[in-house]
This record gives sequence, C-alpha cells and structure tokens, in this order.
Amino acid sequence: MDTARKKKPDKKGWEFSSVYGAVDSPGRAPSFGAEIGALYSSSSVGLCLIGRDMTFIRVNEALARMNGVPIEDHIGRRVCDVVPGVSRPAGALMRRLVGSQEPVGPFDLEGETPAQPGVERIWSQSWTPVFDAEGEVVAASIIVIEVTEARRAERLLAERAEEVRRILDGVVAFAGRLAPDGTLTEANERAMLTAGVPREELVGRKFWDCFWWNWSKESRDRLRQAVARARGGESLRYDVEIRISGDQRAFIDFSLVPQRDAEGQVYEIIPSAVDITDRKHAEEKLQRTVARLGTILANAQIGIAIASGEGRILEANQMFLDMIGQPRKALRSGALHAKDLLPGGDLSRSEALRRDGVVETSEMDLRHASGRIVPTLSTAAMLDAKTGEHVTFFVDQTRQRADAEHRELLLLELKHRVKNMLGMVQAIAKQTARSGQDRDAFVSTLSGRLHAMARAHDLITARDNGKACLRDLIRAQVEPYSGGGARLEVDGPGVQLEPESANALGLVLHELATNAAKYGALSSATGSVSITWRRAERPGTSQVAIEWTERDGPPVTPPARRGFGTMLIETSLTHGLEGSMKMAHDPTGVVALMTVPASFPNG
Amino acid sequence: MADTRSVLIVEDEALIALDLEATLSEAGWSVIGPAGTGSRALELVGDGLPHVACLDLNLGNGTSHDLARTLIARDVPVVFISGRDSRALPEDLRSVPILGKPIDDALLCRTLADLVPA
Repeated sequence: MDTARKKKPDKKGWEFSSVYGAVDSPGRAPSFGAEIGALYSSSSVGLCLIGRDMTFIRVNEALARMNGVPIEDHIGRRVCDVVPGVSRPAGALMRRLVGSQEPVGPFDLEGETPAQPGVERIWSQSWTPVFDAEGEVVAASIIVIEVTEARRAERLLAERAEEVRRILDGVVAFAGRLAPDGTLTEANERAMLTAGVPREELVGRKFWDCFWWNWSKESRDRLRQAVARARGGESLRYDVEIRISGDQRAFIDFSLVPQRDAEGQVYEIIPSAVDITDRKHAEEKLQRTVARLGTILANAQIGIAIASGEGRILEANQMFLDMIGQPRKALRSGALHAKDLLPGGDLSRSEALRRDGVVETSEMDLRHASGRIVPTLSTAAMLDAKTGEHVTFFVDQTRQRADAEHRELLLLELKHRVKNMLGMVQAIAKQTARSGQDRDAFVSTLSGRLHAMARAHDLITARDNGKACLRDLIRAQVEPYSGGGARLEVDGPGVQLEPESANALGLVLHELATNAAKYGALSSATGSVSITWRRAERPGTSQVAIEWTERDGPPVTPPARRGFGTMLIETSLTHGLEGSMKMAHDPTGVVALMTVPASFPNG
Repeated sequence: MADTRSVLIVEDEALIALDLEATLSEAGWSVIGPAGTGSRALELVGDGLPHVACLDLNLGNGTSHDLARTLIARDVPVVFISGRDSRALPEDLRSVPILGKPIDDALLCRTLADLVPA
C-alpha cells in the first residue's frame, strides 16, 4: 500500500466509520451516527452523502425537495440518473476530492434539477471527504444551500453598480456618491484622475478631507456646510475653486443633490461638477479686457457716446459729457437725445450707418449745454444692427479750428505785407529814379534804401510780438555809416515800436545817416552824432521823442533842392502815423527832433 | 479839360503816397493830398469834391470803407489800392475797382480815366 493513500492524522474530513459505520461487513446495513442522523432529518439545509462511485448513500428531506425527487428514489442510484442536470460538475468535484483529499467549498454550483426543470439554479455547496480506515476517500459528505435568489440579487446589484460606475466614468463631468455623513463612497474615473491620488485616499474619507478640498480651510468649511444642507434635503449649486493634480487649481460648477428613499429620508448625496476653468479664465480675461477698456474710455481725450436706434444716449464717457456740458445724471435720466446734441443731423438716421455699419470720419458739430457749438471730427460704428444701437466718437476740434483760422489769418496778413512791401520797393525805386542821378548813384541809393527796409524788417520779424526795439533799430540803420560806431552816442530807455513806426523810422534814420555820411558829421574824422530819446510829454499818447544831433562836422548849409530823401524824412513820420519831425540845419550840425508812437515795456 | 480833372489820394504809407502823387501828377491829374488818414482826406476835400478818389484799402489799423461810402454817396467814384484781394471787401463795396500792390501805373491811369470821362 503506498503511503500517499493512507489517511494522514491531519487530514480534514470524516472517518467513514464515524458517519456510516463499518463498510467492511457487506450485507449489513451500516449504522448511522445518531447525532448525524438527527441533523439529517431536521436540517433545512440540504445534506447528502455520495459514494465515490457517484451513488447516493444518504439524502435528507431538504435536499430531496431541492432535487424534486423523493429520498428513497435517491438511495443507491447514481447522481447522473437522479439529477442529470448537475452530474457533470458533481463528478468533477468527486474526482478532485478523491485526488486532493481536501474539503472543497463553499462554492457555487449551477445546474438544473427535476424540481424545476429548465430553470438554472445555484447552490452553495461544501464537499467534505469521508475516509475509510485506510485513509482512502470513499465518499463525500455534501452540504447544499439553495442560493439562486440571493445570487441573482447579488449579481443584479453588482451589475447595477458597474453600470452606475460606467455612467459616472463616461460623463465628462466629475461625479460621485456621498453617504449622508459626507463620506465619499464612489467617484468616477475622471474625478479620480483630476486628483491624481490613489483611490483609497479618496473613497472612504469625508468628502471635504479629500485632495480636491483640503488645500484651503475656506473651501473645506464651505463644502462641509453645503453637505450638511444637502443632508437636510436641499440641492445646492455654486462655482468653486478646487485643487487638482500637480497642485494646480481648477474652477468647477459644483452641485450637491440629495437622494431620498421612499420615506423621504436622504440616504445619499450625489456630488457632481463641470470643469469651468476655461470658461472662468475666459470670463476673467473678458473682465480684465472690459476693465482695461473702461479705463481707456474713461481717460480718452475722445468723446464716446453709445446711442439707441432712436438716438437716445445710453452711455457716454466723461469727455463726451464735458464736450456737451452735461452732468452724468442727465445720462441716467435718459434725457439726452442725439437730435438735441447734433444740430447737423442725428446719426441714428444715417443711411451709411445702416448700410455699411460705419460712418467715415467727418466734421460734426456738437451743441454744448450753453448753446455754444463745439466743432468735432466724428466717426460712428453700428453696435447692433437689429436695434440700431451705435457708438460715436468725437474728437474736439475747437482748438484745431481756431488754429486753422489763425493760420489762415496769418497767411492773409503775410500776403498783404509782402504786397505792401513790394509796393514800397516799387515806390522807392521810382522815386529814386525820379531824382535824375546817374546810374551808379541810383543803384547805390536804391540799394541803400532797400537795405534799410530789409534791416527794419529783420528787427520786426525777429520777435514773436512783431515789435522792434528802438535801440536795435538805430544801431542797425546808423552804424553802417559811422565807421564802427566810435562816433555814435546812442542812449535812452527801452522802447518798442510797432511795425509801421519801425518801418517809417528805419527809412528816416537811414536817410539822416546817409546825409550825415555824405555831407554832415559822419563825413569828417572829427564829427559825431548823438541819438538820445525819452518818453514824449504829449498827454493822451504814448510816444517817444528822439533827438538826432550832429556835432563837429563840416559847416552845414541847407540843401539847395528838396529831393526825395528830404521828402521822405519830412513826411514818413507824419503821414499816416501820429508822429512828428522837425529838422534844423544849424551851422554846427543838423538837429532832428522826432516823435513816433511807441511803447515802454519798463514803464 | 485835363487841367480840371482832380484825384484825391489817400495812402498811409508815405513812400507809396509820394510815388502815387508823382505818378498821377506826371499823368496830368490835379492831385489832392496825399492824405494819410480818412479824416485828413475829408479835411482836404472840404467843399470841392475831386473827380475821383484813389484810396488805400487799409489805413493804419482800420479801413477806408467808410471814406469810400461817404465819397460814393457824393457821387465821387472810387478806386481801391490794396495788398489784399477783393474778397476782403464788404458786400456794398464789391463793385468798386480794386488794384493790387505793387501798383501797375498804366492800369491805374486807365482805370481812373474810365471812371472820369474827359
């Protein structure tokens, strides 16, 4: 006998004799242990003993009912004959039991019995080997419990749970399940992935202690309160920031929906969320853009007004309100209307605006609250073609228009002066020609006079105020004839001359200087000229009195002929100007006393 | 008849006034003036009106518009001399001939002669 077939002391199972009595005495009904016999008859659990040859040795009532075959029809018959629907797996089990000599089960066995033909049923079975004295497996003691309904219910539940999980995992949103106390019992794949932590760190924890929420006391407390309210039966929804893997933040549109049972008790809370990070960022970007635009609009030096299709001003920036001289409250009351503000025509009726959506830049007048017209350059654009709402931009042109007008005036004045100047040049040329001098003398006299005009002109145009300084004028006209100015005395207060006075006095000084250089004090090495001035004592006028005095020159003789130069000296200051001229040919030197309108900047 | 034709010259620019005086005298006109201001011109005219008046459009800081109107009202034809163009003239004086500076002597003489038939 090989030892492997012997029953070892630690073998789990029954001694055949203890459950069945000895089998070594054929023909004698084996005695069955009294206790086991009682158990067999009273148990509601199916019990049987099947021999190694697959014949039923003993069967209790409960099993007989399960099989749908009376007890007596089992005994001594083979399993395949009594319950063919389970004989194949039963045979396989017996072979396994004989081979391993170890108990098997409990396990589920599926099959069909005559009790319910055609119905697949499930039994939970435990098979225990029964040994003979040599330790050989001779039979199997089997416990059978019908579990068909229980298994079906379990399977259904499992399938349902799987289905729920599949649904949760499939949705783009985050979803899960909470016990009423806030414990997370389930979360979909997506939600898990966003956290990026092991499942066991999420499921089974209080929801607010999970990765998504526990980064901030505020979000954790808020969630705890929200769950408490959901437990009370309330559905909640709010936008909130959560933590996601990589310690990033995401915005979610979060909701908690309580589930109630038939009695109205909240047995579960379904948390769900949609990732709105992109939307939130877009919103924030939009808000920033709007804020930025707002700042620009508020500070723009361009008037901006938004008007309805009927021309009612709906919105406007401060610049526009300033341009029309209206307070902001006029805007709120809806009292501002384009037709009152645009005397040139209301843009809301502009065809170009309706047709093209824009109105090209054009000149447009605005009416200020004071009635004043504000010239502007204006552009408009349609905002909503359906309602006709449009925006109009106004650039104040008041200054530009004034500047343009001023420029035009200056240009006209310049034109006028140039023509006048040419007229004077013509007059000088003709008058000089009339003197009958020879050609060289004519050219020299004419160019001297033209230079005198040019010097006066230089002084006038050198300053912005168009006035000439008397001292500069004297120096400019006389110094060229004084041999460097050594014999000149020029003295007097600061005096300014209008262009007309400066032109006229310039020519007079030129004539006096050329005469002095030809015949007078500046023609000799010893002569000198003093030119002094002071404010003239003439009430009601502002004039300067200038004294031209020649000394130590050759003896003076009055000119024999009144030439153009003399006439020029005599008439320039009196004709058309309020000035005066007195000239004396004293034997010791020419003396000229002149007055011209002037201003005294130093008082 | 040439002796009796008189012209009033009103020009505030002395040089030009002297030139006008010389030019018109040489052309055979009897010159009254030249006057540098409107009031001086009216003084010179007194009761004896000239046949024609040659007025600088700009006198000092003002114009010779009123002087022109006074003379026209007394049937004295007027010619303006100006560095400005005719757009500077008020409506009622638009028909007055206006000669630009620098002055074209021949044109001036012809214009005056046309206004005062010999």
